[in-house]
Amino acid sequence: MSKFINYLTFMKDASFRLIFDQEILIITIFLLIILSCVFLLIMSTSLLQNIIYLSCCSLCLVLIYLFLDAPDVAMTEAAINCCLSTIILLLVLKKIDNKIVNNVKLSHLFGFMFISCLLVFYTKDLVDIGDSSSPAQQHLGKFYLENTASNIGIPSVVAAILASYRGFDTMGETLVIVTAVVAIKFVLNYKSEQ
Amino acid sequence: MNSFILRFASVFLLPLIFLVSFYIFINGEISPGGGFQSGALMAIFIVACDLILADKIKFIELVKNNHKITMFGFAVYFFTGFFALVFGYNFLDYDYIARDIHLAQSIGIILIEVGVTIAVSSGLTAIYFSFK
Repeated sequence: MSKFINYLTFMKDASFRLIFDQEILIITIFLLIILSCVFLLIMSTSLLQNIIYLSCCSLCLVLIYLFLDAPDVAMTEAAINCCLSTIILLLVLKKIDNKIVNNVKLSHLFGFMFISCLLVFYTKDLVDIGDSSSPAQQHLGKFYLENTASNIGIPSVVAAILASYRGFDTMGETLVIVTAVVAIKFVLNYKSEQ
Repeated sequence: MNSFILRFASVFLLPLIFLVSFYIFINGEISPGGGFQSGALMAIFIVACDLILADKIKFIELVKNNHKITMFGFAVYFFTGFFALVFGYNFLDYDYIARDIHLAQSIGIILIEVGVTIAVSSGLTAIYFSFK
């Protein structure tokens, strides 16, 4: 019973914050647009509609990343997911049969909703957005913020972490692109070489 | 080329995409974004050029060897780190480039961003043209 009362007070605090924090209100609106897009995506029977809804979802994600002060992630999302993957999916759609059969039943939807309600219930244990006392900001983030000016000497801390402190990880990311190109070349040029 | 959307895109949006890509690449250390974002926008510039001007220019002939250019971009990144091993430093430690630490770090970051930009822009265009 006491847990339930705790949960109710948490919900009251959350609604208080929702009303008076404008940024979180805007982000919530975009999340609701994404939710409705996903619902339409599940219910639609045309592949062209599916691609348009996916592109709309990632457009809303771009705006959410912008409001969360992550412009580089927003740029990547807009370039790769919203523009390029939509173009590639439309190219593939020209070559295959457009009609699909929609197999989603109402019981499946209730299962999805139950799982997502469980996940939402556990988000109350997450840290707040921009909380400086969270564990991620205490240990390594503090070190990077304090030592970038003296060690690297460039103004952007994100660029210093990506290119110098964690250059090995960025090399792995580049290797992922190389691997994708090699794999697609092998798969799609397989018939023409025989 | 008769529709209004395509004419508007070819006149206004294509130079703007190229300009933003170049801006992100030049200001990699100051503004948000770096080699990956710049390369992705450059790839979108080439893809949009192909979508609009496909009947005038044969882009698929120009990008025939793009998977090799992707390898070259990765090699630029890898050997920037590998030469540090030759001079007796740790892997991807840029201090061997110059005696001043900050200058060495700047040159090293620019070198690897050139590598990432080449790899990402040529790789994404290679993926697009192999689906075509």
